[in-house]
Amino acid sequence: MFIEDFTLEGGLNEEQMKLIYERSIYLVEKVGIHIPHKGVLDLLSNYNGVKIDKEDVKFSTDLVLNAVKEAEYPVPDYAKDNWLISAGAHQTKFFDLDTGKIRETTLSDLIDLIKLGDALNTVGSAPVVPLDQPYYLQEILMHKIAWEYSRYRANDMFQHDPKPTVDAANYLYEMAQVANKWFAIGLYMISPRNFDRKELEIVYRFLDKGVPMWAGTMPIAGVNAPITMQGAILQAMFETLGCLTMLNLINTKSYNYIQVIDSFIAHPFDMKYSTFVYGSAEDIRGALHKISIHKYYNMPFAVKSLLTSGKEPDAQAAFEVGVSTLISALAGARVFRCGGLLSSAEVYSAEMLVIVNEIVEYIKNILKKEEFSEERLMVDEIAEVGPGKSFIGRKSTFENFRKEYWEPELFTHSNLGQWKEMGSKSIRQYANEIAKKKIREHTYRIDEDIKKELDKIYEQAKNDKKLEESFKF
Amino acid sequence: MLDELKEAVISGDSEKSKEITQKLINSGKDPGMVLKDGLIAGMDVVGKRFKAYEMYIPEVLVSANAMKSAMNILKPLLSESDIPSMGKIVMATIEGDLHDIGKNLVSMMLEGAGFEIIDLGVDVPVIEIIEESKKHNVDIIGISALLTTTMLGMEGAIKSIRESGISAKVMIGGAPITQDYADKIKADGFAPDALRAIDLAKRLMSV
Repeated sequence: MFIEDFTLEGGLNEEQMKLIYERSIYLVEKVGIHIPHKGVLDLLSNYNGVKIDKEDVKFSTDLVLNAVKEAEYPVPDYAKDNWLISAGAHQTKFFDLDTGKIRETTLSDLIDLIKLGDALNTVGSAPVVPLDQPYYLQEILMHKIAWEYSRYRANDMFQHDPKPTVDAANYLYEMAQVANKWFAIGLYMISPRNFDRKELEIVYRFLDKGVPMWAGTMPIAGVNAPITMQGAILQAMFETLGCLTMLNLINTKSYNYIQVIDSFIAHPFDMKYSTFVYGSAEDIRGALHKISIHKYYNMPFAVKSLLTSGKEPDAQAAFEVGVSTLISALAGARVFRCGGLLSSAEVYSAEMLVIVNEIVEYIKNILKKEEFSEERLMVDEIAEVGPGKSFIGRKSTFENFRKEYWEPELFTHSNLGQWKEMGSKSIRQYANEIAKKKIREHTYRIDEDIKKELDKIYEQAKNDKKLEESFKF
Repeated sequence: MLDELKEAVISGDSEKSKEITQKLINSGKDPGMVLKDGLIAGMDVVGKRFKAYEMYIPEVLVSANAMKSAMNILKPLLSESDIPSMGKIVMATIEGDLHDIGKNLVSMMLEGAGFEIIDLGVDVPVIEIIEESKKHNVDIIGISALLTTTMLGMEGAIKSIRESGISAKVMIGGAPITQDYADKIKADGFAPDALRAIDLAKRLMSV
């Protein structure tokens, strides 16, 4: 027998969620999305239920419902019962681990952070862009390094970046085939209801390859989506369903799905500082609504609870990440995104990744499944250990203390004297040491034969003028 | 009544701004003075408060709208020399990039600060930026990019702008942009947000 899991009550009720869903389908049917790509429009024109007016496209309710029904979600086995951290994406600024200063990211940072991420069993896209490398090779390198130095990075549905050009996507596809790694093509809508023509072109050129494709969007409440949370979520749902429906009709050789991260959620915007805001009260509330909707419609999801507006690994960062993650976990989330990012995804910090890993472990241990039994009540023990005696030396204590007490790696329980003895280090200093140690001691490497193949493909890419040109406009 | 007009602009009351402006004109007040001591004075206060993080973007925008509404009454009565323009700026998101939130915010804020904005939209080829800049004889060209891939086009764009012979200054912005990058590609300035874009534009105008 187990003690019932702690959960969160309240939020959107069934009627409210159904209304949002109905209204979003209504918008897909009556308002439509903007698809600025002739090839895609030509393909869509073959279907009943698709109304095209220049580049504005409306889909009938049947088509939308069918797309939702046919969507498949490739949840990896390790995500089914585990708590996961997806650790950042495409950052270009980094807190140097030695100087503590913010600087541009390099290939060396990419390698180190992939190693750290792997040591912490994280998933998701490569954390930083190797800006010291030729621009047309950066995305290719991010995948190559992620695959060479980690088991899970850039290798599942939590990897969410669209590809930069058709030529780059072709190289990534080839590398993924050789390394037997995950490959999908993603589409981020540009709110309101628009697409990047270049991303549509990549989708179009990959339709014959039979690769999964996903739909995502990131509307911002009060800027390119309505100011109300409900309105902004509706905009997100409408756009995502519209995009999914389009993909379902044209990407017939493989499956399509709604991206688990940027789906039915809107992002808050600070009207004073004109910046994105993560980790705010509205952001967390939005995440809760997203979780409710995803759970109701039986769709997997990840939450961006590891994002914060904190500029450094400090009290604000820890509080926002802690509160956001705990509440999301109580609501049912088990995959948490953006580990290591600070200042609303402006800068990456290895120390912050170590800290959020600890926060997630902490919360996991609050909410861990606890067995309830006569044996665990320990009635006999209680009867035996009387005044003046102690439980500390008992066999039961010896056999169980490691299971009953989680031992944190970072948030150590030393007292003041012990802390002084150990050097009076701050959490950040301690996290810095842990990060460096994990990087230093990291051993995983991809199979040498696969690496050689990846190296060959990379060499081709380096000398490929067409690839280089594809990044110019 | 000029103080009332100033307050109407600060509070973003378009109707009141128009009403008071009309009253002032009807009473024989010099239109140039109405503009300077009423409307611009109001927007100056707005600008200072926004810079001090005491006012929010939507509030600044409604104030700018209040000023614009009143300007529609004054414009036909003002000579060209009376109408202050801080400068003319062409704004565009670089070719290949469709993101425009930042650019739109900056454009609105610059307009509120008295600049004349020619917004070319998104995904703008550099040749169009050059043509429009020449056509409108702009003082500044503002280019934005959100993606690390599209920002790379900025270097080429700046080179082409210089080679075209335009004397306009180039300022850049967008999430992946840094001062280091701006220096590297020889932009005349970089602004990390809309507020600093106004300061930067004013500084570029005075050079």
